[in-house]
Order: sequence, then C-alpha cells, then structure tokens
Amino acid sequence: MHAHAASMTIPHTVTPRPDTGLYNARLGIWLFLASEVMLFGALFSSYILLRVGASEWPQRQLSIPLGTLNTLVLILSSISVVMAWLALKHKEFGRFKLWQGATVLLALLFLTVKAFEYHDKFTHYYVQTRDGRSWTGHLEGKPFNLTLARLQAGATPPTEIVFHPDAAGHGRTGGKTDHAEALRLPVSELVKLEAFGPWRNTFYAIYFVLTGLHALHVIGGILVLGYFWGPGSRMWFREPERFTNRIEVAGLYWHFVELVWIFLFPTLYLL
Amino acid sequence: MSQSEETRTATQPAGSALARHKWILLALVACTAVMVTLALLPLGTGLKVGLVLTVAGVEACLVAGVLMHLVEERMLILSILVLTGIFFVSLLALPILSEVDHARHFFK
Repeated sequence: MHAHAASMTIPHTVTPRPDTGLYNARLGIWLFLASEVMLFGALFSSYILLRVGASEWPQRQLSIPLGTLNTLVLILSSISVVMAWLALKHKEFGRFKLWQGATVLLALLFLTVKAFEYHDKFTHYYVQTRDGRSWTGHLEGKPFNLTLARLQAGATPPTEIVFHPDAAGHGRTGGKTDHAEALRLPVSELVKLEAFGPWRNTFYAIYFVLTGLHALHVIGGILVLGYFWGPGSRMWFREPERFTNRIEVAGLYWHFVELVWIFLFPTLYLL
Repeated sequence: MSQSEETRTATQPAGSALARHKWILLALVACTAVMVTLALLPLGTGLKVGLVLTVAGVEACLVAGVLMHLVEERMLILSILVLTGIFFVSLLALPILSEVDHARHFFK
C-alpha cells in the first residue's frame, strides 16, 4: 500500500482535465481569486457605506506622488511577471530568473514606499489643549505613535512638548513639509495627543484596513514569487511544464493584487 | 490562458511579445496619468468620481483582459467570474439599498 502511495502522482498538473479543459491549478487559482473578489468587495462596500453616510469626508489626506509611484511600481511588476512566464514558454530559464527577480524587487519597493507612508502617519499628530485649541503637525524628534498616557508614564515625564504645526496641506504624506512657528505646549494643558493611526477617524480606519490587507497580499506574493525564483526553480530541470504552469498561476495572483490597487489608489488617494 | 493563446504565445518570438507588452505598459501608465490629472482638475465631485472610476475600470479591464488573458479564457472560468460579478455588484448595491430604505422612511 505504501509503495502504491509513493508511486502515485497528482493528476492534471500539466495536462487539462477532460471535464474542465483546464489543468487543476488554473481552475483552483480562479476559484481562489473569485473568493478574494468577495473579500475585497465586502470592504469596498463598507467604504461606500461609510463615505455616503458621513456628513463630511476628509479628502487628500495621502500623498498623491507616492500613491502614483506605487501604482507605477505595481504596473511594472505586472509586466515583468508576464515576461517571466513568457521566458519559460520560450525555454529561456536565464531570462525567467531576470524577470522574476525584477518582479520580487518591485514588490519589495512597493512595500518600502508603503512602510514610509505608514511611518509618516504614525509620526504625524493631532494635539488639543484644555482651552479648545487644536493643531496637526509634528513633535520635536518625530517620535513614533506617542500618546498622552505614554508621554506622562515615563520615568521623568516632560513638562512641555515642542510642536511644529502644519502650515498648509496638512495631513498629507510628503505634502508641504514647511511648518508654522514651533509651539511650546505644557503637558498639563494637553487633553489629546494622538498620531494619525486607524483610530484617528473613519477614513484612516478604512485606509489602514484596506491597504493593510492589500500589503499582506503583497507579502504573500513576495513569498510565492521569491520561492519560485529561488529554491522552487529547481523544478524547471525535472518538470519544466509543471513549473511553467506554477509561474502562470502565481502570475495570475499577482495581477489580481495589482487589480485591487488600481481601485484602492483612486478611492483613497485621489477622490 | 486558452489552448489557442498558449500555442500562439509559444510560437511568438520573444521580441514581439516584449513589444506587445511595452504597448500594454504604456497604456496602463497613460491610464494612471489620466486618473491623476482628472483628480487634480477643478471638476464637480460627482463628475470627478465618475470619470476617475471609469478610467480605473478601463485600466482594470486591460490588466484582466490582456495580462490575465481573460479575453481568450475558457467558458468555465468566465462563468465563475460572471457569477462572482453578480454577487460583487449585489454587495456594492447594499449601501445604495440601505440609503433608499432610509429615504423611504424619511418621506413616510
């Protein structure tokens, strides 16, 4: 029985099934992508519901140049992933390595830009004092995700903070970096100090959820594409057709990641 | 990708495939540029949303149709996607239905 099990091979990894006309992985990936459409669809639906129901909606909170850069990075990676698959179709393994490597590097670049954007939001603050005045801007030294409770909990809590209020175009990542004159605010006068995290308002909540989930998909893509570029590529020398199919399926997933971004970019950055 | 497309791709010289994808790349970059330009123009909100999302739709069609080869995909896959599309549109319509319901109660 064990010998029989060892000699068993998974059918239809290369040849199409007679009933579907497709090899298994291709049908599988499309079913998976259909479920992904519903996952992101539910979140987009929530976004519409929240936005339509809001009396006012913050606009232009994010950096359009950085969003555009990331869109271009994903477009380039979508082309390079197709070129990697085409290289295998033409039996050019060297070219495959080149294009697949480029795809992984572009995906890493996307995440780097996203991390920069996230970091910028967690070092950008909203401050409110007892007399009702409020500002948005940066704290001296740009601390990461500081709160009033954390500020006061230190061994030697500061008596005042140095705050650089935004000049114009406040809130935008990579927006105008010039600040109004620095303010020295006594800590005892502060009633609110919070970074622009998901708790800031509904816009930031949906922004972090949608882009966070998308970033997780990018990380998943990097792992899969990276594996096929590295140790997984050994399969090419044993089962070239099966390996080519794997690259095609991984490519379809990667295109879907780009498709989601194509709608995230305008809805969160532009509109 | 369909069998015919696969055969075509396999026999296509690498250079011509590269040239074809260069055009797709240019089209996608152009769509992105148009989207950003439209967003920065002083247009009415409704018009702006409509135009920008239309261009995003065109860009998505290019990716799905050409890069994911949906234009030449098998009927089975297309059927799955059409069914998903129906559920997806229903999901997006839920907020609208909710608004209609609110309006109905408001004018009652």
